[in-house]
This record gives sequence, structure tokens and C-alpha cells, in this order.
Amino acid sequence: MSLTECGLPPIDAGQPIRDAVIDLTEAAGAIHTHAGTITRGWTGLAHSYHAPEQHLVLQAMSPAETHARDAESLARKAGSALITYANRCDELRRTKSVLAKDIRDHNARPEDHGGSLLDKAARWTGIDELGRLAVEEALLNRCNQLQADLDEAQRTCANALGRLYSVGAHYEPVGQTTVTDPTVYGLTADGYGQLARAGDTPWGTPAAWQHAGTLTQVYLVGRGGADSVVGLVGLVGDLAQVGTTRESRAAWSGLWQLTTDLGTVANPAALPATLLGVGPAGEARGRLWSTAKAGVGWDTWGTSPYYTAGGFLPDALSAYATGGTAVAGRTAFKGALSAAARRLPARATSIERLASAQRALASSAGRLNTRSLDQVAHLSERLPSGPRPAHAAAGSGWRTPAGPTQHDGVWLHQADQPAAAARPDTRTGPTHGRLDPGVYARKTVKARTTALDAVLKNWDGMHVTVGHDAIALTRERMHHFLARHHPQYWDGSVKKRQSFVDPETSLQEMERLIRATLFANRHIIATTGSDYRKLKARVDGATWVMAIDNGYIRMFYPEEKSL
Amino acid sequence: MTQWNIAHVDALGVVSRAATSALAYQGKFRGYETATGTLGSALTYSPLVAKALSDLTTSAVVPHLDEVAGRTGSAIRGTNAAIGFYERGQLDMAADAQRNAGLAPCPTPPGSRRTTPKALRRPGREAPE
Repeated sequence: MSLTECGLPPIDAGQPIRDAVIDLTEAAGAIHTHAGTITRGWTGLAHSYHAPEQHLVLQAMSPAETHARDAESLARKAGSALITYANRCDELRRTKSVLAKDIRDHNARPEDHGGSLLDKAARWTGIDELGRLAVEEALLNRCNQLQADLDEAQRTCANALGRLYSVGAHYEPVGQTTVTDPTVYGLTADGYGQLARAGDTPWGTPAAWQHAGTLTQVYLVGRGGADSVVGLVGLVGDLAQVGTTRESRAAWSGLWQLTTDLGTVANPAALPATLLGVGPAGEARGRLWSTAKAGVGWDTWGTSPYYTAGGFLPDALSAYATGGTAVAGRTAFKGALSAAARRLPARATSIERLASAQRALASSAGRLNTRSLDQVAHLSERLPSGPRPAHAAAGSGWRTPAGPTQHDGVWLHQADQPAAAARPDTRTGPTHGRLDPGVYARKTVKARTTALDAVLKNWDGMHVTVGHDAIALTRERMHHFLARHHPQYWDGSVKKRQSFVDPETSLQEMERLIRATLFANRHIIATTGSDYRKLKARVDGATWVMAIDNGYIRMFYPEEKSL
Repeated sequence: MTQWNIAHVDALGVVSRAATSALAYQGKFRGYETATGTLGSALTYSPLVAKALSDLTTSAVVPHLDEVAGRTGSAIRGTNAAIGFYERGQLDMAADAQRNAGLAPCPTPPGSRRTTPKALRRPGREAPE
């Protein structure tokens, strides 16, 4: 296992964000301008409308303009935050590009087999391996920092957006707030360093962590011990500050949760729930199990065994010095610290839960209640010189037709049919109720295949590092997945149990779903390798089925659900 | 106190032009919706930012735009009704309708097809569907 640039985090390009922000602010500005135009026209009533309390009528249009102005103001402020974020994305993309090149260069560099006496001595003593480890760890730290910087950029932007309205969330990284805080996102570089120890970072780990010569082993053991002591002292320092710093609050909340979990599990009345793993007792059991595993470095033995072993040296020494009494306390501290840290992946990977955010964003503006405008449309038919809008005659509002229906994240129908009755019975249809092939047959198979070829024209496959294994997806397989399961590119073939992805799913979203499915199964892959295996994962509310074989992804599709 | 004196043809002309202009909101709202969707596509790898923006749009921007549509609609409908009642000499009804013109619209229950509040229906005429 070594570092790989393929695992570096994907970062959005800044320019499309800036372009979209301009569109958004212009659209909000157009609404405000239009409201101003209507309000100015409304003032013409002052010449023809005189009545007691006439100001109610003459000023009736002003609130609309005020709200339009407020909406535009929000859009502009949000745009400002987003442009800052877009600029930061560009900086991070440049950093990533340099880092990826450095990793590639390092991996391509052949081992030094120089014949000089000095080279031989360096190889024999293991100094050259130590030097290589130092270079790889420096690269690893840069990878960790890049991901942490990306997380921070997202948090900064999200917090700026949250400050624009009263109930906006404020996000913190794991370890900087209480362990029960639901608005945590991402990690610090140190946090990613801990993930790397467990082999959970997609950019890999230095090869020498596992396969090292004697000198490197000794060095790693020593550093593991030193880091353990430093970490423990840091934890004690945080606890001593009793809630005055964010780290202190995080440490105390971790300890408090550990205590309450122990109390929950120790309650005899909760024994059945604890054993069955259901309810709060089941959750407490899960957390305690994680804490226990963290205490013994369960996840890190496989990836960095010498470093992990070094972490236990201080325990052994203190056990010897105190007759064993210090070890229990230290393990509890380590467990608490680790529990907070180990919870971080679960929280940090809430990225999977956030994955539908784009879709939510796309539909958020569609929640406008414009019923009042529909009423105006009807009214304008009766007023003198009022035009008759075509859509009013048709009896429909401006709103676009209802979108496709979704079951657990899997899109089953093209729902832009005029009436539900036109759709086939979803339980008895010729495709076993998954989808009416005729709906998508409005475009010919050839047209869809051409579109698919165009989408994949510049796509050269993808590589994902999971634990110790590199897993690849070829262009041919992605072509197959999309042709079989994407309504926009469907080749028309129907299997006994046929499922489809959301018609709006982009190629990038497919990549993300594939990465998320692999990530969810990382422990299985780490244990069993990348030989033939069928995997399942729950992503975006749907169950996804994947087959990997000898390092390649062979199948990927959403599991069909019974209605 | 100002007396009732409405030049109803002129007044209805203003209301009619406002109603015609208000229909253009539909396209502008759709433009905003499209721009939001485009932004969502540009934030493919920024799920937290997309979520925060989605929350902002849902919780803050959309309510303002709802108010734009609602206030515009109630102003036009209320004023139109007031002019109608004035024409028929029902000044009390006209005063009520006038007050409704300055109010935020009552929220309509989901699924309801009623387009005009009962109080504003013209006597002897069915509200348009």
C-alpha cells in the first residue's frame, strides 16, 4: 500500500460556481426590478382612487417590493459567500494538482540501487528507507491538510450562508465541539491523520508503515510511544481547562457520554435492548464497543502495527511503575479520546447523507407558493384589456409538472405523463413494475446511445483506493451501467428485475455513488481483498448493488424494491 | 375624511396593467429556480455548501418570494373587488375589500382548489376555478 493521487478529494471548479452565482443574483435582481415596476405603475391609482383609508390600497403593492428587495439582498450576500468559496476551490485545485504531481513523481522514482559504498551503507542500515518514509509521511500530511482545508472552506461558506438568516446552522469540525453536536462536518488535519492510521483515507498510507526494516520499525515504535504520551498530556490539559476551550468541551462531552453509556448498559432493565442492539441501549453498546476497539487500536494494527504497538509502551511502563493501577485510567482516557476521534469518521462521512443536497437545492426554489399569481391570472381574464394567458386557459399554473416519483431514492417512473392513469400498473407491467419502457422510448435507442457516447467521450475510467486495494472502473463498464440503468441512456433492454437510477443523475453523481458504495464496504474489502464479491450499500436512501472482481468493478445498479 | 370617489375605468386600467405585469413573475421565478438548479450542479463535490444553500433558499428566500406573489395577488384582487363593490354602491363591502388589499393572503390549504376567498366573491357569481 502506498500513497496514490487517485484518492485525493475531488474539488469543484470555481468558474461554474461563479457563473451560476451571477445567474442567481441576476434572477433575484430581475424579480426586484419587476416588483419596482409594478409598484410604480400602481401609484397611478392615486389619480383615480379616492376613498376613506385609501392608503391601504395605494400602498398595497409596497410590501411585495420590500420582500423582493430582501430576497435579492439575500441572494447577493449568498453570492458573495459562494464566490469566496469558488476562489478558495480554485486555490485548493492548484494545491491538489501540485500534490498529485509530487505523489506521482515519488511513486515513479526507482529505488536507489547505487553502487557506491555510501549507498550500500545507507541501504544496509535502513537509513534510505527511513528517508523514504519521511518523504511519504510529508506527502501524507499534505493530503490530510488538503482534505482538511477543503472541509474548512465548505464550513466557512456554509456558516456564512447560515448567518444570513436567524435559524441557520453553524458547523464545526469534529473535536472542536461536543460529541453530540449534530452540526459537525469534516475533520482537522490531525483527525485525518488518525483516519490514515486506520487505513481509512482514500489517498493511502506510506508503505513503510507495514513493511519496514528494523531501523524504521524501531523509529515507528518510538514515535508511537511519544505521540501517545503527547496525546495523553494534551487530553489532560484539555480536561483541566474545564470547558473554557472548544477542545476542552469536546473532551468533557466525550467523557460524559462514555459515563452515561456505561450507566445505560449497566442498567439491568436495558439488558435485552443492549443484547439485541436496539434503541438507546443498543446505540450506547455500539459506542462503547467503538471505544473499546479504539482503546486497543483495533483498526490501526493492520495499517500501522509498529506505531500502534509503540502507543502501548507508555501503558506498559506505567503498569510496571504503578502496579497496574495507572493503566485502567489511561485506557479510559485513551478510549474517550479515541471515541471522540473514532466517531469522527461516522460524522465526517455524513457526506453520504448530504449527498442529496444538490437535489434538494435544485428543488428548493421550486417550493414557491404562487397560488396567488394563479388567481391573478384568472382575474386578468375579466379585467379590461387583461390578456388571457395560455396556461390559465389550460387550467395549470406556471409550475412545472410534477417530477418523477421516487421510492427509496430509486426513480421508478418518468412522471411527466399528463395523468396517472396513463401510467402502467407498476406491479403488473411488462417490466415487472419498474418502469414503462415506452415512456423512454420517445427517444430512439440510437439517440440515447449517441448521447451516452458523447457523455463518456472524455471519461477515462476511475480509480478508487480502498484500504490496501486499488479498484478500477473502466469506461466500458460505466457505459454498460448507464446503458442498462440510466433512463436517459437506456439501451432498451429489460431484465426480469429491472431498476433505474434517477434520470437526472449525472456522470459525476454516478462516480460519487460508486465511491460511496465502496467506502461503505471498505472494511469488507480490506478484510477479503478485491477478488470477486458482491457488495451492497445504502446511499441516498437507496440500496446499491456492486460486484467487484479482481480489482475491477463489474456491476453497479440500484436494487429493485418491492412496492 | 376623504369621500368615496373612484374613476372606475381608470382605476381598473391600473389594476389590469398590474395584473398583466404580475403574470411575468412566473417566468422570473422560473429563472430563479433554474439558476438555483445550475448552482446545485456546480456544487457537485461541495455537499455541505449545497445543503446550506438549500436551507437558506427554503427557509429565507422562498418565503420572501412567496410574499411577493401573495402580496401582489392580494393587492390586485382586493382593489378589484373594492372597485366592483363601489360600482354597485356597497361601500361597506368595498371598505372590507380595500382592507384585504393591504393584507398578506391567507395560506391556502394544500390541495384546495378555491382561488378566491369567499368574502371576496361577487354576489351571484361563482368564483372562477
